[in-house]
Amino acid sequence: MTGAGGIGYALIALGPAFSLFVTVIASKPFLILTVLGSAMMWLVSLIACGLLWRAFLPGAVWVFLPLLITVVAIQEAVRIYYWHLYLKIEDFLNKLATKVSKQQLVATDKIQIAIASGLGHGIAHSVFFCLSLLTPAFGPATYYVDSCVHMPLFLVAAFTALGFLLLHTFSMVIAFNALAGDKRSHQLFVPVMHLCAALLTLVNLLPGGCIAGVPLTLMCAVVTMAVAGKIVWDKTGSGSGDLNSLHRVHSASRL
Amino acid sequence: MEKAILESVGGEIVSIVTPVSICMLLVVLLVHTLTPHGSVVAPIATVAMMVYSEKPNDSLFEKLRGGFLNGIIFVCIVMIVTFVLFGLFYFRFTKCLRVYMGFSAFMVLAWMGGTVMVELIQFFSIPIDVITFGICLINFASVGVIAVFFCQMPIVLTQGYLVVIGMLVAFWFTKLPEWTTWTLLISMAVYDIMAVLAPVGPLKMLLELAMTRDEEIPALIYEARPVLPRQMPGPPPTSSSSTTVQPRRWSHLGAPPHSLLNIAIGRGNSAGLNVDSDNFQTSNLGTVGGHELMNFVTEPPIAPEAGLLGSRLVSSTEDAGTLNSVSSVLAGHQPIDPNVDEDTVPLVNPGTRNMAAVDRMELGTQMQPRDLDEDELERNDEGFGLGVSGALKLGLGDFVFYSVLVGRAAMYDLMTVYACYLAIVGGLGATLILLAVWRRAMPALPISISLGVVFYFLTRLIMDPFVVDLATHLVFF
Repeated sequence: MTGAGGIGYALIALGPAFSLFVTVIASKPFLILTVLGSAMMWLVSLIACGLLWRAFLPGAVWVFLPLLITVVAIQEAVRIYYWHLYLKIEDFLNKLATKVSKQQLVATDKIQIAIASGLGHGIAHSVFFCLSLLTPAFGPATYYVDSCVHMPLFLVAAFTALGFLLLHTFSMVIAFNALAGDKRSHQLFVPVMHLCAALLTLVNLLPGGCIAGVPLTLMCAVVTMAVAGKIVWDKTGSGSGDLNSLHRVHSASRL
Repeated sequence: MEKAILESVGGEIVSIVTPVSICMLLVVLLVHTLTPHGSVVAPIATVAMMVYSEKPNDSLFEKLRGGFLNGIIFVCIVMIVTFVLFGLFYFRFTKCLRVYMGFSAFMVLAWMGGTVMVELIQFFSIPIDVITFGICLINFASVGVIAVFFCQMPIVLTQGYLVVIGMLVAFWFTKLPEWTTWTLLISMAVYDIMAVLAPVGPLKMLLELAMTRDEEIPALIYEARPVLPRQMPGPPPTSSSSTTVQPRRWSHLGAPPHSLLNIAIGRGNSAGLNVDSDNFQTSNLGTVGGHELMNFVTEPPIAPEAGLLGSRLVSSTEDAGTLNSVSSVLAGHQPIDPNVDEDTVPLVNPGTRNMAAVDRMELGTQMQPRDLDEDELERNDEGFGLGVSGALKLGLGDFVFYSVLVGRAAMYDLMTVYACYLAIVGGLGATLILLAVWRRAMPALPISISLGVVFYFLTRLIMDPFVVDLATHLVFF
């Protein structure tokens, strides 16, 4: 509904991503390229899922369950593949650093690359699942789905996109850390959390379900953020919490 | 404390991706505003539609066949014009080329720009009178021509005008009917491969001629800012293209034995203009070509350890991004008016330092005034390359075709726009990587255009219904 509404929805879905981008990513060109690359990889996985399930949609409601399971499986497989790609790039960057007499990658660098990759996934999700639907929202009216008379479609989509953006961003941090350190519990945490969040959105299919569905999604995002925060806190030693000061201590805590 | 590697890697790529993104964004905004969904845009009669004029009632086969014929004819005309420009360059009709270049840029800015402005004024109901509008338009176009071709101006102004020229031409191209647009894009991508890689390709011949003659290739180029300031002093100012004062335009830097292509370091020299000693500015060369936009990335002469990313890494004395050593030249072309064709310029990989892609013959050349380190000259033995500058250069034709693709995607839905944008940027990155790996002249258009077309059709046919269905059921993943 009107320009203000449309912009509002867009900001709900992408505001935190924008601030993350400006503070962490914009100053380092390599991270910008990482965001674009991981967004493209997410898009390819989405197209693959679409190819798989296009014939079944629009269809019966029960189709969503196997659809979600297979789709989450595909995306987690892509995440593992992305991790292997990242290892090669990390190797390359370290060699490059040696040749130009600069420091090799330190823990904060790796965390930043993980954030950038996760943000690429998250932004791609938000853009395709929310932003591209928002064009009608700039008009004079709004739209309610049958199963959710409490909130317009755009609002539900915006909040859910926000939740998934945060989830994708920080589960990439967790995943990188877990795969590097070979921690089983965290390795399992990421796909399980992703699957939980996806299945919880099925609650939205029930009449009036979005009242519960949206907060549940956001809660999943908060849990993921907490776990990722704890990992980063542990990893960077006893320095203060913000990323900038970590640069000062990283020489002491090279991991 | 040493600076981290992450600070500087990739700066040049971002400095080229940014203006491409801005151009695409402007075209999408224009298309979205001025082309309401569902309206039938009356196709304009152009040379691209000589053979077949698409009507909505034609069958699919008719449209495909007609579009295909249009594309073939267009590519043939482009090829002929490229050869004509090559001939002009060969016989040294530089003044003719220069005048043509300035004239065509003025036409783009004044005529196409004026048309777009009139449409915008009508859409937003802006109260402005004809006389004011005329004066503003003439001034805008004149400053644009001067900024791009003739004078040293603040580089932001030159860059801005180049992006605007690319945007206007791309917007004009989106007015073509749908099937013709797609077949045109695909035909130009195929032609690009041929023109760059085949031995008789006009662009390849043009580049080699310029190398042997040690002259600048006429081109319309976007030049990105150097990432970090260079310590090299600029070349001494000259008032003519005398060769006694200036060093050779094309120096052949040899590649190390196991390697890479060579780079030719070209020096910018502006005939009749004083070359600014500021490294960041481009000088307009006297030889102005036809529709060639040459794009080459040049770097300032760097320390002897400079090498190529990937096989010989550089230890640059400057703090420049390490990708400085991998510069690619992407060439694009600029269609001047409906009767003008565009050529594609091959992507030429110069060698250890620069990679140049010469896409098309374009009017106007932009070279960087550059100081050449004599020791580096001796170090190299063969190969060719293009001008040395601190910045990455991209030909305007690439801007145009990328924006045409994205603009046409915008006519369907914003989801296709996002998908095509990611595809094009991915293709651009892949082209740069291939350039670094293969080290030879490579066309800039094919990978991006083919990825973009594939993603457009996949998104439109498969992903759009999939995502919309999921979203309207409020199921996300």
